[in-house]
Amino acid sequence: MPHAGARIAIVDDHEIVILALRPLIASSPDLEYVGSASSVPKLLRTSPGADLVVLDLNLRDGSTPGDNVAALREWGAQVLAITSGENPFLIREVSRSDSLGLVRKSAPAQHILAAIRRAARGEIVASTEWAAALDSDPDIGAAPLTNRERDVLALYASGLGAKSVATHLGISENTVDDHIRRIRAEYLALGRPANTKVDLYRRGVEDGFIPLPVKN
Amino acid sequence: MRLLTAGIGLGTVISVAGVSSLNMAGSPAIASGWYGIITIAVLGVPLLGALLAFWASRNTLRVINAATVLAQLALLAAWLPLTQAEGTVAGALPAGLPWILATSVSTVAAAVIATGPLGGVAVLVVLSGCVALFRGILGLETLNSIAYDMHTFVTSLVGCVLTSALIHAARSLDRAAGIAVIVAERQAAAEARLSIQVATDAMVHDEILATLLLAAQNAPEFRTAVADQSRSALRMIEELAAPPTEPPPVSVDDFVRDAGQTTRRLDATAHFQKSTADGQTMPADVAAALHSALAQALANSVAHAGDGPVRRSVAVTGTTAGVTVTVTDDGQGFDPDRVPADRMGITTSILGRLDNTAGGSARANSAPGQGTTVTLTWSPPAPPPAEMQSPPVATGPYGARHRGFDLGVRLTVITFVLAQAVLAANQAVNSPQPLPAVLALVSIYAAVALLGWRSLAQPDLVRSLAILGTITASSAIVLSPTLTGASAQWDTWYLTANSVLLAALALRKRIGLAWVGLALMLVLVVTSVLVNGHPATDATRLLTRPTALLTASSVLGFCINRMLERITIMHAGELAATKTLSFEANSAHERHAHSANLGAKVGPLLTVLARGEVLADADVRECLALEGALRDQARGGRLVRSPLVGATLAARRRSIDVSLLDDGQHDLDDDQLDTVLAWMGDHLDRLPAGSFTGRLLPPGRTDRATVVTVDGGGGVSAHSWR
Repeated sequence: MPHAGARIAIVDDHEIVILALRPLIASSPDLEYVGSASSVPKLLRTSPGADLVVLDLNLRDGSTPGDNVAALREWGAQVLAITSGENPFLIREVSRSDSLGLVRKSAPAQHILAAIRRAARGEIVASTEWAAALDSDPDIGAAPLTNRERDVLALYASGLGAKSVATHLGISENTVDDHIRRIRAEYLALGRPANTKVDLYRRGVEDGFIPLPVKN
Repeated sequence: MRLLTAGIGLGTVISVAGVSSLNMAGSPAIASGWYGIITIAVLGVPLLGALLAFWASRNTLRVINAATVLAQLALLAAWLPLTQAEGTVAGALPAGLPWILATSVSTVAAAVIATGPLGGVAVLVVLSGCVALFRGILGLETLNSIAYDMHTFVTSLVGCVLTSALIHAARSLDRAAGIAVIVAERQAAAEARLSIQVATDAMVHDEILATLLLAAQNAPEFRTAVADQSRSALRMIEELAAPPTEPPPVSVDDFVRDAGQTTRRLDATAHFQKSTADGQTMPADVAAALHSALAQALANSVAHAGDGPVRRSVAVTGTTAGVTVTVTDDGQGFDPDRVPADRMGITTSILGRLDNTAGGSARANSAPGQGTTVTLTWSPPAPPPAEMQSPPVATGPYGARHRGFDLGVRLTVITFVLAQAVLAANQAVNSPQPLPAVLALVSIYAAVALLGWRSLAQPDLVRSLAILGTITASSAIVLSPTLTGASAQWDTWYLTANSVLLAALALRKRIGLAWVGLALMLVLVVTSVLVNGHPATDATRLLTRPTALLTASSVLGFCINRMLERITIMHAGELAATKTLSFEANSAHERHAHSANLGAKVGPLLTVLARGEVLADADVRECLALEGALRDQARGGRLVRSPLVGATLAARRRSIDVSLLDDGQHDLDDDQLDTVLAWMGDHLDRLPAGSFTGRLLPPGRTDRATVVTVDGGGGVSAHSWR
C-alpha cells in the first residue's frame, strides 16, 4: 500500500540516535521512515530516495556539514540538521548551506518531531541554537537585514518561539515566518566560508567557545 | 654575492674603459708594452668572476674576488717601476695616477666579498694611502686632487657598508628560507595530528551525549543498546585518558641521514661527520627535537659567525649511550652573557624544546673571537630526571645581529662629516669668496641632521622633502659666478657630497625623491655651465660620479629592502608554525587532562548504564543533568560558573531543559558577570518545570543578557539585563 507521508531518512553515525528517532518518526502518520546510514555517501548508495534527510552535524568520516548538505540537495532531498554539541561554528556552516534548519538532539521528543514534520513540509526550522549561532556571527553585520529582521533573530536567539516572537513584536506569526525566511536567504547569500574542521576548532578556541587547550 | 661579483667585473671594465676613453684619448696608455699586457691580465680576473658568477660555488667566487683585490694591489705596487721602465707615465689618470685607483669602489666591494667589511676598509685605507703616496712622489697634489681623493674615500666607504649589508641580508634570507622549509614540514605533520585529535574528541563527546539522552528515556527496548553504547563510551574515554601512543622509534641511521641533508641545505660547505653503531634507535619526538635544534644552531652559525671564510662542521655520534650532535664554527663567536633575553625568540623555543625532551640537553660555548660550539645531546633516560631543567641557552648573538652594519654606518657618517669640513675649508681658503663654501657646508650638515643615522626606516614625506630641499639649496651654489669651471672638483665638492646624501635617501626607501634631487642637480649644473660659458664636458664630469653613486645605491637599496621584507614575512611564518607546534603540544596535554576529567564525571554513571538494568528516577535525572553539563562545556562559556552551575544542575534534576549560551565578547568584568549569573540563577531557581534559556548577548546590543523561561503550562516570560 503506497504511503502518503513524506519519506524521511537519517544520517547519523551513532546507532543509538537512529534507534531513538525511528519510533518517533513512525509514530507520525504523515511521515514515513525509509532508512538510515552512518554517512552521506552510504545513504546515497543504499537508499532509493528520500524527501527529507535528518543529518547529524558532526560525522566521524571527517566530512563537513556544508559538503554533506550540498550532496543531499543534489540527490533531491531537503535537509534538517541535528546536533548534540551546539558548536556554533558548525551551525553557522550548515546555515550557510541550503538546509531547512537545525534541531537539538536533547530537545524534548515532541519538539524534535514537530521540527521534522515542519521540515518535511518544506518549512524553515528556526531553533534557538540556530538563531544564536547566526545572531552572534560577526559576519551577520554584512547581511542586508532590516532592523525588524535583526530583532526577530535576536528574540529567537534568546529562546522564544515563533508565537512568542509574534506576540512580543505585535505582528502575526506568518510575518515572523516571512522574516525568518529572509534571514535564512540573506545568510545563505553570505557564502560558505572555506573552513576545515581544524580551522573551526581553532577559531572556537580563540573565541573562547571551546575550553581547550589553554592558550599560552 | 653572485650579482655583486658580476657587478664588480663589469663595473671595473666599464670604469677603466670610461677613464681611458674620456681622459686619455689619443694616448697609447693602457694597451702598450708590458704594463698593458699585465693590465689586461689583471682586468681579466674580475671579468672571469663576472662570467662565472652564476655557476661557480660561493667559495670559488670568494677566491676570485680575493684574486681581483690581490692582483690590483700587486699591479699598484708595480705601477711605478713598470711605467718608469716604459719611459712614460702610462695608464695614468688625468691627475697622473694609475687607473686602478679609479676603480676603488669595485676593489673595495671585492674585498668585502672575499674577507668581510674589515678587509674592505683595510683595502680602502691601503688604496687611499697609495693615492697620497703617488701624489707625493709624483708631485701631483692639487686642489682638485684633494677633493677627488676625499670623495673617492667616502664613496668607497659607502660601497663597503652597502656591500656588507647586502651580503648580510642575503645570508639572512637564505637562513630564513632554510628554516622555513623545515618548520613548514613539521607544521604540516602537527596539523594532521591535530585534525585527527579534534575529530576523536568530538566523537567521544557525541557518543556520551547520545548515550545519556537515550538512557534518560529509560525504555526497555533501548536498554541493550544503551548498555552496549555505555561500554563503548567507557572504552573510548579510557583510550583517550591513556597517555598518547608513541610513534614508532626512528633509527639513528635515518636521523643521521636527515641531519646530513639539513646540514647541506643550510651550508653546503660545512664538513659533516658521522659515527654510528648499527641498529640504534631513538624516540621519534627526540629525533624531531634534535633535528629542529640542529637546524636552528646551524642557521644561527651561518647568520652570525661573521663575514669572511668560516670553517663549520657538524658531527653526529650515535652510541648505546645516546646521540650527540655538535655544531662548531671558527667564526667571531659571542659573549653569551651579552645576548639580551628578549631577543632570542625562536632560538630559545626550539632549543628549549630539546631541553624539555626527556634526556635531551642543549649547550652553547662561545666567547668573542673564539668561535662557537653548540652541543646537542640525548641519552636514553634511565629514571625520570628529578632535577629542574637548566635555563635556555643562547646560540647566537641575535641582539648583535646588525652591530657590524651599524658601526659601518656610523663610521661612514663621521668620515663624511669630517671630509666635508676639509673640503669646505679647501674651497674657502683658496677661493676669493669663502661664503659659498660655508653655506654649502651648513646645508650639507643640516641635511645629515635631518637624515639622521640611527634608523634605516623610511623618513616621512615632510622630512624627506626638507632633506631634498636642503640638498638642492646647496647644489644651487654651483650657479655662483665665482666658479672656476674646467675640472673644478675643488669648488664643486658639494655636488658629490649631495649625491652621497641622495644615495642615503634612496637607501631609506625614497628612491623616487632621490632621483628628483639628481634631476634638479642636473638642471642646476647644466644651467651653470651654460650661464658661465664653461665647456660642456664639465657638466658630464661633474655629474658622472653622482649618477653612478645614486644608481648603485638605488639598486642595492632596493635589493636589500626587498630581502629584508621577505625575511620579515618568513620570520612571521616561522613564528606561526612554532605556535602551531606549541598549540599542538598544549592541546595534547589539555586533552589528556580533559579526558581524565570526563572519565571522573561520567564514568560512574556509564558503568551503571552498562549493566543494562532498569534505572531509578534519580539515575534518569542524573543522565539529563550530565548531558546538559557536557553540552554547557561546548556552549556555556562563562555562564558555566558558580552560582549558576549549582542552579543549573538542580534545575536539570527537576527535568527542566536548560540551555546556556555565551555569545558575549569579553566586555563584562567579573563583578558584572557575577551579578548576571546570580540574576539568571534566581530565575532558574523559581522555575518549577519547563525550559530555560540564558544567553550573554553579542557586543553592541542595548542588553547584555537575556533569560527566557517557559513554565510547565506553556507560559512564556522573557527578561533582559543591561
